[in-house]
Amino acid sequence: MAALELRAVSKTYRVGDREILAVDDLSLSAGDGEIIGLLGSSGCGKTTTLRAIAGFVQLTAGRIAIDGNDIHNLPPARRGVAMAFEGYALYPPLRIRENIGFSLLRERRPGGEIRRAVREIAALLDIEDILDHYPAFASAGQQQRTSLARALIRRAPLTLLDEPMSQLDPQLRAQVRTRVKEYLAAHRLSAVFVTHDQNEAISLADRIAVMEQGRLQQFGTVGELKNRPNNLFVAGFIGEPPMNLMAAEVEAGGARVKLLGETDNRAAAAVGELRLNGAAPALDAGRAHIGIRPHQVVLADDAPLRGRVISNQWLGDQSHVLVDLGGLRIVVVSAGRVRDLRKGENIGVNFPPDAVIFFSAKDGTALPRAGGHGGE
Amino acid sequence: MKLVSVFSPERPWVWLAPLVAVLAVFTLFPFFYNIYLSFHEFNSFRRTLVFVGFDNWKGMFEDAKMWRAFSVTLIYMTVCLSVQFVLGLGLALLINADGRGYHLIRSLLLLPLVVPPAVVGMMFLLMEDSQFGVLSWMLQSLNLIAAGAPLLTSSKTALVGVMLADIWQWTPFMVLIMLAGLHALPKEPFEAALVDGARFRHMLFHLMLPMLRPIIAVALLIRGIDLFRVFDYVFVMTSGGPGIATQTLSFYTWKQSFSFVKWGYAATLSLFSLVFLIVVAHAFIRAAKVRW
Ligand SMILES: Nc1ncnc2c1ncn2[C@@H]1O[C@H](COP(=O)(O)OP(=O)(O)OP(=O)(O)O)[C@@H](O)[C@H]1O
Ligand SMILES: [Mg+2]
Repeated sequence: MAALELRAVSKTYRVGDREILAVDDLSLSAGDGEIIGLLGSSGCGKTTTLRAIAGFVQLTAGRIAIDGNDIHNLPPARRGVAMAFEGYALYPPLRIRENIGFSLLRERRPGGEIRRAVREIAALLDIEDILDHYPAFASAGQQQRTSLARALIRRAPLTLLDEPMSQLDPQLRAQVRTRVKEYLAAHRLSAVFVTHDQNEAISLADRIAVMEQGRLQQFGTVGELKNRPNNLFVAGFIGEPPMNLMAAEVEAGGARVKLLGETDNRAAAAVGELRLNGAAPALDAGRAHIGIRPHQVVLADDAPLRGRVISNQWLGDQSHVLVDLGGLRIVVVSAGRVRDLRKGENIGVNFPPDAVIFFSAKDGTALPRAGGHGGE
Repeated sequence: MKLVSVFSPERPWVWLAPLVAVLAVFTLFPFFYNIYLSFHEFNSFRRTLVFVGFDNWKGMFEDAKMWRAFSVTLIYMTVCLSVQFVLGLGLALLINADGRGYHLIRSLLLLPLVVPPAVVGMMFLLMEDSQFGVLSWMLQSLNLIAAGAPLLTSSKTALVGVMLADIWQWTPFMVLIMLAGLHALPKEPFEAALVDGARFRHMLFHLMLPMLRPIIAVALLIRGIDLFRVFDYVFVMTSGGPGIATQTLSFYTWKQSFSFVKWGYAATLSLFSLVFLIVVAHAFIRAAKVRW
């Protein structure tokens, strides 16, 4: 129910005489009713960003606006946000029931309404049976769902969730995830949530912001992140298994590409050659990095690029085949069972020209394709 | 027998002996002797202790002065404890900040604790003098007492006069304990309460006080026992007067023993204090669910 905008937000922590740049020039905007996922590795500034939106972190620079009004100087209570904290932050002296209903009581809602709302949200998150317990006697997963319930019951214009499901087992997590998503949609709530788990980000968020070392790497839908990664970091971070990345030399005209090995291994001799029918971008120096998603690599007996099978793992619905192209290892995901591919076997791999993505060798940013069309 | 084998772990008594000896001589013996004394009385003509059975105990329950002293003690304890707790918590909340200068304030606050109570009594005796006492002057300026009204020599206000000294000296102790308690509280629940729209009073009564309960209970217990035994301020400032208006139980006990040479009765009074404190403290510990 609210649009959020972060403009050039920075936060530097001072610890003694050390400075820690936790969030660096972060800009992103979320529409009304949109669910945004903040995804990134540990320590990249996700919690800091969320706490800045909630009002517990004084910005070093930048502005935060909700529905067009600057809020970064308002106290937390006046920002119209609900928050589930990373460490749950439950109220120890209050029962689970009172924890969840605390905010409604502060709004002086009638008792019957509060009881009904608490029961409804507790049913949604499967914690009805512990409503009369104290937080200290609830399991970590129950505490986390209590903290989630306490944030959701508010139906605040903007809901902030910091790793709201990190303590749940995979089955429960999947169940809670869909229910939370339905709840947010049913009440047309905007939300920003933090997660380490890309599956969670993918299934819950409308758009995902990938962060690394305090900087926003890319902000977009799953499709955009997967098929048009902004840079090498996003390419290597999103997707399971992640994109195959390698160093390459592009021939003038872009007709042929020489594969040189792993991205950090520049001295290696050419591993093989690709024919890309002019899809490669025109490069001055010729050096680039290229990437291809594991499930877009095609295993073919007659392909010119050849390698040896290192391992072949059948996961029940797909195979992960690790292939060594002579110093360069790539993962190939094949949806069907790849029959009798055994260790050491010689196999050909084919990179469809449309699936190959090019990155600058200098700074890792993605390069536009010569053909001008992405591989959606 | 070799020395090493004497001090072996198989002979704990060797290790315990010194402690047990000290305890026996300075704690157990006086305690049992006190019980023995409470069934005797010193006869100044025969210059010896005479067995009197339960006379001391019976007499005590019929002694109006004793009950008066007991109620003065209870009033003193309750008022001082309440004021010191509320002031202590309030001040702790005020100076529980990280800003510049707070550290200095916290250190300064501890100064009263290093002054000997008898000296504090003397100080307040002077400050509450109706002619030239600064405290009397301030209270008069605030129209809290009439001009020239004697604070400590009027039976209506004398107890309050003594309490002022106690409160001045011991409130910092409460502040200290409450600060330690506040410092140990997690920050996140209060942040959560902030986003949930709680006001300060909600946080205080729903979160802070319940979370501080164990430490508050211990502070009240320690201070309460101490207040029940109050002696120095009374001795120095009023000697129990005017009349017996500020005569507390411990002062009354002291008077029985050292002014009237009624050793048996004094022993009975002190045992009564002990039993009363044990019973009340125990009930309090149960009610406050303090776990040691
Ligand atoms: N209060 C603080 N004082 C000083 N440094 C801090 C503080 N909070 C966070 N940092 C630092 O800022 C950086 C970002 O921290 P933040 O908590 O935002 O990471 P995060 O992305 O939430 O990590 P995680 O996924 O592990 O929760 C880290 O380097 C951290 O050490
Ligand atoms: Mg975090």
